[in-house]
Amino acid sequence: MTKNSDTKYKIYRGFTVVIRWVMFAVVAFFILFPVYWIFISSITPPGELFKTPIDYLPDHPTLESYSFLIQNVGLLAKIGSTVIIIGVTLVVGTIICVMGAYGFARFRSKAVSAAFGFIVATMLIPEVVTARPLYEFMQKVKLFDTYPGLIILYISSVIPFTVLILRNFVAEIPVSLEEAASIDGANFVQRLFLVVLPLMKPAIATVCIINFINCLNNFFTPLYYSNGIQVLSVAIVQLPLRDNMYGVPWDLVSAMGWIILLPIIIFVAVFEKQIMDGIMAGGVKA
Amino acid sequence: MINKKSLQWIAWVLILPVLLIRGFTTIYPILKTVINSFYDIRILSGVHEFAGVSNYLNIFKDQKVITTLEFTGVFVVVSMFFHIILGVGLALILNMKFKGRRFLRTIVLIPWAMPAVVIGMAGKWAFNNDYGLINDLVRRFVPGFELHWLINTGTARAAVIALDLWKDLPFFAILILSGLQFISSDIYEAAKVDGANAVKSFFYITLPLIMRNVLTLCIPFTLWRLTGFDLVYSMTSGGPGEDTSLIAYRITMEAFTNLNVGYAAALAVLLFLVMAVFSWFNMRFMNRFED
Amino acid sequence: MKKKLVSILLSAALTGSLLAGCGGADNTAAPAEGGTEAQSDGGAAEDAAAGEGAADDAAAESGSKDGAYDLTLYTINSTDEDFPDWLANVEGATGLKINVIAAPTDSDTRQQKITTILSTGDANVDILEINDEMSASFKNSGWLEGLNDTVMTEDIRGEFPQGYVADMITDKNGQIIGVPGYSGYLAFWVNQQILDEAGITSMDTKEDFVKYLEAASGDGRYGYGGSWEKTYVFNEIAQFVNMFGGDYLDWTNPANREAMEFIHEMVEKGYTPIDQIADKYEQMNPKFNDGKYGSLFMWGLGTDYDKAGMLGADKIHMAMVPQFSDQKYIFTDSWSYVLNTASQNKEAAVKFLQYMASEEGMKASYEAFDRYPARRDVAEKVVPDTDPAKEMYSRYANECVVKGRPMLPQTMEFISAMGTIFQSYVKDEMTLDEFCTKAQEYVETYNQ
Repeated sequence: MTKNSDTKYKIYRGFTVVIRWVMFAVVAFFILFPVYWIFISSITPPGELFKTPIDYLPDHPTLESYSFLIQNVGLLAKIGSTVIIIGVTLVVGTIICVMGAYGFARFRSKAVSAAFGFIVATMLIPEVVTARPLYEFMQKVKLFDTYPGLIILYISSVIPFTVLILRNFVAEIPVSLEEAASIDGANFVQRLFLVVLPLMKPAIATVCIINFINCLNNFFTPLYYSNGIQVLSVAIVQLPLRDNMYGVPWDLVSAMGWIILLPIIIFVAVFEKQIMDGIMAGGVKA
Repeated sequence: MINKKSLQWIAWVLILPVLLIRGFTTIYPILKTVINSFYDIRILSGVHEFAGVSNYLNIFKDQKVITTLEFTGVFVVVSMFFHIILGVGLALILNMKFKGRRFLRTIVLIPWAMPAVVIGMAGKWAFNNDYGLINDLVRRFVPGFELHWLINTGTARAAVIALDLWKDLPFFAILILSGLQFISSDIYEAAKVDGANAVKSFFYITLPLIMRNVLTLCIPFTLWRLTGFDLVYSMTSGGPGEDTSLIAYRITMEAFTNLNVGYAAALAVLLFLVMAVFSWFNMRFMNRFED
Repeated sequence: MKKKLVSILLSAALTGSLLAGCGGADNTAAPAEGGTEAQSDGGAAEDAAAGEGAADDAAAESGSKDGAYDLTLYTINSTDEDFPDWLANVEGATGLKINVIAAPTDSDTRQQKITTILSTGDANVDILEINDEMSASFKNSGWLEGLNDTVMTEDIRGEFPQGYVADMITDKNGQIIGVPGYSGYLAFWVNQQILDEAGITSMDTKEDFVKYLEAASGDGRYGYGGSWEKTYVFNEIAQFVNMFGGDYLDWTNPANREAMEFIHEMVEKGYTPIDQIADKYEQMNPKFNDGKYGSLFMWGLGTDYDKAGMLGADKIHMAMVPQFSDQKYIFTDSWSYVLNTASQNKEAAVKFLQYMASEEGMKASYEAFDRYPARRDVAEKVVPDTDPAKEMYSRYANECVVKGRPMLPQTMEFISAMGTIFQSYVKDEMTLDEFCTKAQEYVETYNQ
């Protein structure tokens, strides 16, 4: 390599590095800045909140909104019910979806295919479409505003996506592996647990993570199908009113937003690697 | 594959739980919705009578719904267009090998994980002319800049779409990234040797390889655009006028606020049909694409 | 076997870690241990029962199915700081054990929830608080119990604002269906600093008002401000129509046209900004505090202005409504406590409502939530003369024609339809004639 082309290469390298960091900065700014703005809104005293131009470093930061919310909106109770509902949903939902996915992938008959078609077709039904009849139905079967009722609805909402992803994943696991195990005398249950499940780990982790976040953000299910049981996501529309009964105060909205967001950010930061690996490995098998 | 008759019962044991739960929460509401769509049910006026297909006919006479359908179309097409363009771009950035990658991959998950209602409420403020983030930033470069985003049809729609992209694009990009990962670097090396530059290798190698992935992703993302309404619900309430009203938002309003249950059901059935047709076409297209 | 379940249980672990991040550790165990649905539900119930006894929300959480409560109240005030005190007072005075459910405070969401509860005959809720929009929709639906013989008896009926009770909360059979929780006016607010600067001393007539608009507007400031979001603008349209002596439910009335022309002119001349068509109250109030608006119409006693240090006789304060036509007009509103017909605890509910309609009950609400008593005799006694609202409120009551807002059974649909065409009109996408024709059409459609 001649000296000339060497410097050229160096310049080229330097140039790409700069470009990369510029792109990095742009993307990071677009994502983080609004989040930061919501944060400073939440720690600015209400009286100083509305300024033009915006004060990106508030003069008198305060955690007043947060302490107010913690004292007055019953956060602990809401976190408790959120954890119960999502916890059970993920555990039970994942178990039955793994079973279902295996069944759909490994057994073929007209009836089974039809059942699978049904599950996928229900994916096309937007929640709002059936919300009102479902509301009446939940009341008729006495599951309205109960933990079992909400959990059933949550599980139901994760089923189509989870079954679809997991079924495709199982379908890619060669049947020969199971057949080999079966020759070695493994029965059906052993095959499922010893051969298939370990291979499904990344896919299961992925769907769990996606379902976890979707459940946490699920707003309309807990809003419509319960009164007394209240979860975190609904709290955003239950903020204290000022005296006119209609205004929703931005200082409290932003604080509540952060209360909901914080666990998610921690979750994402801690599990970044698992989330990424999961999504990469099993997320979308096109 | 197991298709021995004698073993079929195992299949049913396995799939019964998901079938039961899914069926339990969907069959009755769907049937009820379809039936309701043929009735004129206006609870607030105490009307409940058979109406044949008049609910369906009214849809096309209702200016509110026509505007809504128009925006829903614009929203889906424009948003998906940018999803694909910017999503592939963002995926490429996330796939670059450099020190900031891990950080970037972490933070892109934040908007996706944020509750839509929070984003919507923040969006209403962010696009406010006087106190909003967007105009404040613009004003730092263009002093005296004034734009009332949410009062004009075009800008309000742009604002809703922009917010939707902010929330959903990162997730889309990550899913594309999972496809990018599988392209081995050998191909690029080989292309380099053949004298292909970065642009060329993108169009001749990367794009064709991730195309199928992108198209697959378009199905659920388009369906989500059609059924989602949280952003509009908390950001614009469909305003100004009905200009940013989405079909799913319209259904909610008719079903839960105006209590025109029959009409809402007809809209719902219509939406379902649109989605079914879209999915069918998409499958067909995908199949052809494969051949 | 164990090893293979690890990935499934991952989710439980994740959930646990989330909780740790939140700092509330007391409920962690329940989901992680609950292997089956049934088990976890047991855990849930125990949890709820054992729960945070002190928190006011604990009541709402554990549910009323076991019959431990006499009554379930669906309220918009549960997140107020003083709510626990208020509840203790009410429970003490009535001897009832009340289960509290927090209603959404976002207005669309709230409307949808309450509408759904009542329209499906949900018996889980006994008493609800509803606003005028909902009263207008529900009063003839049969979902609300008539209260003439039990609560709103003749001896106290006369103390409530008569026009309001007749217009808003009396059903077609003459039954009163609610107990007004407070008395509120769509008051006229002015910024004294801007008034002084403009050298305006009286604000009695239309001419005064226009003079003020002219003097106050300019340089990014507007003489009049509003919140013209499509469902909020209704109040202001109706207020102006009223002031001009028109009839909101008759758009062939020339006074209505005058009112609309006046509003349009305010926009044209820069007396009021067009961009407020995206604003709700939470956007309007900061601008008023910022000195961007000279005057506006607004509910409540000015907490938002107080918070910003802008409330006071020399800053932002209530003023008498200017007289545009033969009379001065003002709207009143309230939130009423109503009794769900499907309720199975009617006896307890009536007891609760009786207390809310009594002097002590109104006093409790005034002290806890700053709710101005709906009964004239009670307001006289309970509200101290030092309350700046008292003088203005009694002047409104005495000098103005006090009306409930004009609403039709399909309230929200009517309100948002009108808001939509109003926005088109002020944006010049529609002529005055078109607006009036359309408005009249809507009145006829929704008045069935």
